[in-house]
Amino acid sequence: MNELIHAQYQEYSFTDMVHKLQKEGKIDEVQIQAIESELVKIAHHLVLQYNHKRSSTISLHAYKQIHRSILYALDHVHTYKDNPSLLQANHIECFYQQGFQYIEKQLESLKHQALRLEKQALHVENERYQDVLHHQFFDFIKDYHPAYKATLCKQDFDYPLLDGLALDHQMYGLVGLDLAQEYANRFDLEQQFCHLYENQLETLVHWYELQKGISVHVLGLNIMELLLRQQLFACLLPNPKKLLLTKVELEFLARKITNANTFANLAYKRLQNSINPEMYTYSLRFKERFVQELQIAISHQSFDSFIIYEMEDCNKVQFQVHHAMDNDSFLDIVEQIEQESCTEARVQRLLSSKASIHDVLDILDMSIFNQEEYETYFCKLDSLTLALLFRYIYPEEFLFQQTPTLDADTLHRLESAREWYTLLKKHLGTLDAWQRQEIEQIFQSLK
Amino acid sequence: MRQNNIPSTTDFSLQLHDVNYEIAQAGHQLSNEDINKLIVCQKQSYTQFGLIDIHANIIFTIASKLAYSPYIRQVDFVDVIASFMNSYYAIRKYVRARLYDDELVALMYQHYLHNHGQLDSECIYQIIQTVRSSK
Repeated sequence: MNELIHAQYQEYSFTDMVHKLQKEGKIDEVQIQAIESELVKIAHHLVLQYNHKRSSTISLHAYKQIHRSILYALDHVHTYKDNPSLLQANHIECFYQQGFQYIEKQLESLKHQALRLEKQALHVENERYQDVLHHQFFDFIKDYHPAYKATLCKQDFDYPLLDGLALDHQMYGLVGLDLAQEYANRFDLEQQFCHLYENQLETLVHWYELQKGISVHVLGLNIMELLLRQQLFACLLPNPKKLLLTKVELEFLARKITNANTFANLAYKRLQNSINPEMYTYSLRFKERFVQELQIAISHQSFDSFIIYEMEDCNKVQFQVHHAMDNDSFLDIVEQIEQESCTEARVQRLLSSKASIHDVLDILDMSIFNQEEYETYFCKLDSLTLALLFRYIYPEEFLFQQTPTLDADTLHRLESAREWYTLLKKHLGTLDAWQRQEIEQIFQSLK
Repeated sequence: MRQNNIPSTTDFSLQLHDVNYEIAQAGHQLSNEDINKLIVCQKQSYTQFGLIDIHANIIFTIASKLAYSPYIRQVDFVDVIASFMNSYYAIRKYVRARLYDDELVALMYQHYLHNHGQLDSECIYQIIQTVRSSK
């Protein structure tokens, strides 16, 4: 299902219309040649304009782009599509101007839309989402030229939407501004949907990260899908607007949902009453996949893989994924450490600094400590802190719910992207069996 | 729809008349057949360098310039124009629209005279460097 948000006269291009009229005998070869001559005149005018009237020579590549841009402008004129008898040589220049002005207005509209989307950005630290919002839309607008490069769109728009990447749908069969506009319209609709749950979004994403054991920063994740799936499940609960589900609610849903299609239809029916028609129609793009997920969840009793819920606090360690310290405080601590001269004092400064795990990692990466200081620091850490350090520098060991062991083979296998990793591994290798076991148990809680 | 445009010779009767008036004093003349041949050469040249020229004015610009060259005879006038035009497009490929057509032809002509009626690869390279470093 890949219907365009705004179809708008996509049925016939200018060239298609000319061929159609020729087939129907409404236009002859002489008239077609006259139309071609007009197109060539427009192209010549644009070539001279492109060269600031200095030269009549242009690269073939640029000329073809100009030619395509002229046809692109003509594709966006409704006049002759409503009344094909108007498609004559002496009207071509006028139609071109109409098309060009339409594209200019559309570009202006995209600019405003991009600015608004940026202003209303969701607070989700997902790299692709942020890149599209803050860079790709604006880069496209900056590079776009309706007269010379109307069909170009260099941006990938690689933040996946509800029905996947634009690339997976052959960029919706669109080019140039049409492509950017279509993507922006979908992005806009998704963002409007996500804003309905703005006050729950940050917590939900945090719980998602805890559950999956990975940060959303580099994931190819669609935020609307995250919320929509959760909303569809919540539709079966007494309070459908509460997306932050408890384990009890998860277990209730797991018992209640026995038929994928029935539940999906019911959930969508209830969803229809809570969002506007355009959003609802758009959300149907997810339905088929949702039914498949439900079928898997029912057959494997694995609803906890799909539903985000609040994990129990007891025996679970909350690790921070956000920085706790502002830049000035961080730099103060670094300065204090550097001012100390002896090993013990420097290590003590770090231990008593109340830095978050991210800040500690940053300080260790700065190489302000020598080998002896690193070793002294590690010796003073308890099992929990050692476990957290390991968890952060080797996140790949915790993917897909697995937990590593601290045996010699594992430690030997792990890469040392930084020098202090080697020292940490060496320290972990010297721990007695009891402490190693304790750390491995903490790994279970850090999932 | 056509991508290229080859102008017809009937478009150039006036230009041909004007340029023949200009070059006659140097003892040169161009016929319709000469123009036909030069238009074909023009297309071969600009295509060779991945370019397109929207009209054939450059033929007349070059003809006017070369007419008073001490290194040309009437028998090889057309061939020299064709060769010069080929060099013109070779340079255009690398300098784009930094100079007007007639400015570039004038610059080329200077180098052509300086090099005793030749525009070899080294000459072309020097012209490209001159244009690129000037702006």
